[in-house]
Amino acid sequence: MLRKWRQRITIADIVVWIIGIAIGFIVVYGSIKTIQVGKYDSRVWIDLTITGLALGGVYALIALGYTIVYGVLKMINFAHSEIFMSGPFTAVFLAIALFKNGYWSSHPYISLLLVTLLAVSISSVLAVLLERIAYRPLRNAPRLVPLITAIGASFFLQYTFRGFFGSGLQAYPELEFLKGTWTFGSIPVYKTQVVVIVSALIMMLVLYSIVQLTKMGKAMRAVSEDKEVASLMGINVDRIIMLTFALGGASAGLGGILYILLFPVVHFFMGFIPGLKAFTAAVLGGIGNVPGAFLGAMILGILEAVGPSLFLDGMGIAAPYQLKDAIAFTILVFILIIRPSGILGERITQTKA
Amino acid sequence: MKSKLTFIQLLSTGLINGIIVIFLGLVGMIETFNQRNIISGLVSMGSLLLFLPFFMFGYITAKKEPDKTLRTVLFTGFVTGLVAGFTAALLPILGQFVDLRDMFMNASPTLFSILKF
Repeated sequence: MLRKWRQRITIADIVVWIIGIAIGFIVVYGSIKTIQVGKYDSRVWIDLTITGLALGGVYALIALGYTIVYGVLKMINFAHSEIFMSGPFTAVFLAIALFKNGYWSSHPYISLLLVTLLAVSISSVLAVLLERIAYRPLRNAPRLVPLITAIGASFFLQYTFRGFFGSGLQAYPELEFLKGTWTFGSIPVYKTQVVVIVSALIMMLVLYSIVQLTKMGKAMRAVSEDKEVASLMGINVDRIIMLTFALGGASAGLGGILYILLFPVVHFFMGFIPGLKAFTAAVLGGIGNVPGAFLGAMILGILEAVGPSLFLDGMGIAAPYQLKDAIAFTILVFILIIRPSGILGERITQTKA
Repeated sequence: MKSKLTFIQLLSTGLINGIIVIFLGLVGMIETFNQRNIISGLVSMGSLLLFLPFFMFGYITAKKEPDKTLRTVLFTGFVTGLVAGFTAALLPILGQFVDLRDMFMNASPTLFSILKF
């Protein structure tokens, strides 16, 4: 009996579990100590949670792009963070032009709509071009090849946009109607945060409905299962993959606009960190699963906002907010140790993987 | 002298060529490369970079052409080059009417002068 257990459990497993237990201990101990110290009241925790939800909403829109592309092609599109950057980075010039001629202030709703449409279009077109030029020729190549290509495409797009628009920061003009707060019960919430959370939720529902309820979604699921059989059933595989990239790009473009509502500055490198976080969120929720990506993003956003104060403040660590990225990725490691397929991810067989 | 490639194929190849030239210009490569001479006062790296896509796409079109007679190959290359040249020329033409530099930092008069020879 003991020998069987010894054969099953390797040293690597033991090390991984020790790391998991250590992380779990820090989380529980830090939380208890912080609550005992009572440095923050309930209002602060609510504010932090709402901030986390808004941040999670942006991550969710990027993560949806990662997850639907992975769902169909079983490929991580690492250039997706640049698709996210391209939309708002291009649309900033329209916003500035509208602001200069006064249209931004006189017609803020139409201006925001125009900027959003431009950002979504740019991101979608770029995602489709990327698929057509970089990924389609590698459709039957080993899985590592498109992955490396995606990393290359990511750098290519980053430095292309730096070449086009420069390496400086560009600021979006302020929108007067999104200033201030709305009160829910007795809790004031920033209007931008409400807009971001609601938009992310709507986009998730739209994408989920497309995948589950429409003919195109059925074709996407068929292509995801088996491209050759789907092709024999009369599905235009190239077209479906192209539409998947367009949808992912649109989601990233919208995510970019929501991101600039929270942080109204754009630059060529702005996609890197949110892209990485969104990828983490997609893995956390179970990559390939649309509600999973949303859930993972929300959890990551909340952990990033609440985690530093909750886990580290009570242990006397100074300026814990600087460690927010470390917390987000450590929690990812912890969840992947417990559940490698992600929160809502299916356990796939070796052959399918 | 009739190419077996369709007009759309020639047109799209020429367009892609032109777009690549505009891309290289707007990214800033042509202007930066132009500061280095290959033959002093005659050929610079910038002009080489400008002509490279034309040669490359001319070669690709000629290779795609099933009818390999000299006249047809030259004709397809000529049409592709013409379309590409026209597309690339749109940038300096547009630059005369609109200040592209507000958006594209490399859309400078120097770039336009290189494109116009």
